[in-house]
Amino acid sequence: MPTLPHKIIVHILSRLPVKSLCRFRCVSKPWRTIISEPHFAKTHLDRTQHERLILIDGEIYTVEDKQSSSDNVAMAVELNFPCLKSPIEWIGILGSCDDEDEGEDVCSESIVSVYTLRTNNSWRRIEDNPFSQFVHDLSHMVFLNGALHCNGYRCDVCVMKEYGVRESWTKFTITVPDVTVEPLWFPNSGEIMWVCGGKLNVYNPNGKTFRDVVIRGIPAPFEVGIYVESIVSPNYSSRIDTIAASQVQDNPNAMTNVKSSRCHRQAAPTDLPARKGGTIRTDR
Amino acid sequence: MSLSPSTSKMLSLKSSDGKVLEVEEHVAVLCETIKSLVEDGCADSPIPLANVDGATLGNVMEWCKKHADQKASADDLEDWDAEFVERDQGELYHLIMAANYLNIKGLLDLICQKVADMIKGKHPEKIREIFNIENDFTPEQQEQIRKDNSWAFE
Repeated sequence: MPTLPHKIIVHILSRLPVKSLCRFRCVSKPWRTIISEPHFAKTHLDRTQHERLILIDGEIYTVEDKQSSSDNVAMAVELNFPCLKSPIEWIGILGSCDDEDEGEDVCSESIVSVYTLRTNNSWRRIEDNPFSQFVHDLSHMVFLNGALHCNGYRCDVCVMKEYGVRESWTKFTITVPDVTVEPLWFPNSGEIMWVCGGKLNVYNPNGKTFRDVVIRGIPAPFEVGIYVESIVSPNYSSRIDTIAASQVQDNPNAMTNVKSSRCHRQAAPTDLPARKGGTIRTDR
Repeated sequence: MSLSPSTSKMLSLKSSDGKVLEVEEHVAVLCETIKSLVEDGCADSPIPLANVDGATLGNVMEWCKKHADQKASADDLEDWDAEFVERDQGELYHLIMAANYLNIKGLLDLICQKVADMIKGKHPEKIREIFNIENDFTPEQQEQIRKDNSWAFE
C-alpha cells in the first residue's frame, strides 16, 4: 500500500485495540508520536464502545474478548493494575471518571473513595455525596446506559438507548429465573448480562432467551464488572480517577457487590509503577 | 432544491483517466465535495475529479447508490458493506484516498475500520511492510520500546 496521509493513519489507528497500539509504538517514530499524543488518546477513548468484563478475586482480571453469542466460554487474563492498596477492609470498583466531580453511585451506608492514579496513587474520601440518598443498594444500578430494579422474580429494566438523551429512556419487564439478580449491561450487542443466582447469565431481549456464560482461568467465586480500555495516561492528560466504594467495617451488609465499572486499563508500564495485588477481600 | 430520487437529475463525473460517469444527483451528493459544487451551482459541466481514477470512481458510486437507497434497511446495509470491503490492499488504498478527497464520511469510516481489522494483532515488521514505512529507530531504541510495552507482545 502506498504511503497514507497522516490524517488517515490517525483514523485507522484510533480504531485499534490498546494492545495493538502499544505494539505499534515501535513501527516508526511518526507512529510512536501519534500514539503518544493526549489528543489521540481522547479520540481513541471516544471511539471505543467495546465494553469488556472485569473480574476481581483479589487480583484483577479481564476477559480478553466478549464471548460471541455462539460461544459461551470466555477466558480470564490477569491485569497489572497498580491500584488498591486500600486503607479499608473491602473494596469494589464502581467506575472511573476523568473529573473528580463525577463521583456517582453511592451506597448511603458506605464510604465512597476515589483512587487517584495521577497523584501518587492515593486514596481520597468523598464527603457529603449528593447522590447517596437515592441509592441504597448498589446491586441495582448500572453505570452509563441502564438502570434495573428487581422485585422478586420480576425485573423492570430501564434503558437509555441514546446516551444523554432523556427521551430515549425505555422500560421493559423481564421475569428472571432467580431472585438474586445483579445487572451488568452490554449496549453494543443489545443483550443484557447479569449475575443471576451466582452465575453469569445473558438475556437476549429479542429471543427472550437466557444462557449461562462460563469463565475459565479464574477460580470462582469472583466479583464482576465492566470496563472500557483506553490509552489515556493519568500522568499526562486529564485526570482519570478510579472510584471505588468501600464498605464500612462495622456494617458488613451495607453493600453487596461490585457493580458495572468503567475502568481505564493502564497500558504503558512506563507511565505508572505497576503494583500487583492489594487488599481486596471478597466478602460474601 | 429537492434531492429526492424521483426528481433527481443526472450529473456527469469525469475521472482522472478521462472516463465520464453519469450518476443521479441524489446519489452523487453523498460526496460532500460534490454536494458543495451542486449547492453552489457549479455542477453543470462534467465535474472533473482529478484525484480519482475511473475504476475507483465506479466503486465509490456503487457504494453511494446503495447508501442513497432509502428502502435499504440497516441490517441490509451492514451485510452489503461487509461484502463491499472484501478487496485487496491496492483497492482499499484507492477507496480510502477517494473517500477522503470526495469527503464521504461513511465510506471513509468503513474502509478505515476494515484496514484496522486487517492490521490488528499483527507484528510491527508486517505493519511496515503493509504501509511501506521505513523503520527509523535504532536497534537500541527499538528494544527499549519493546521492553516498555512487553505485555503487548505476549
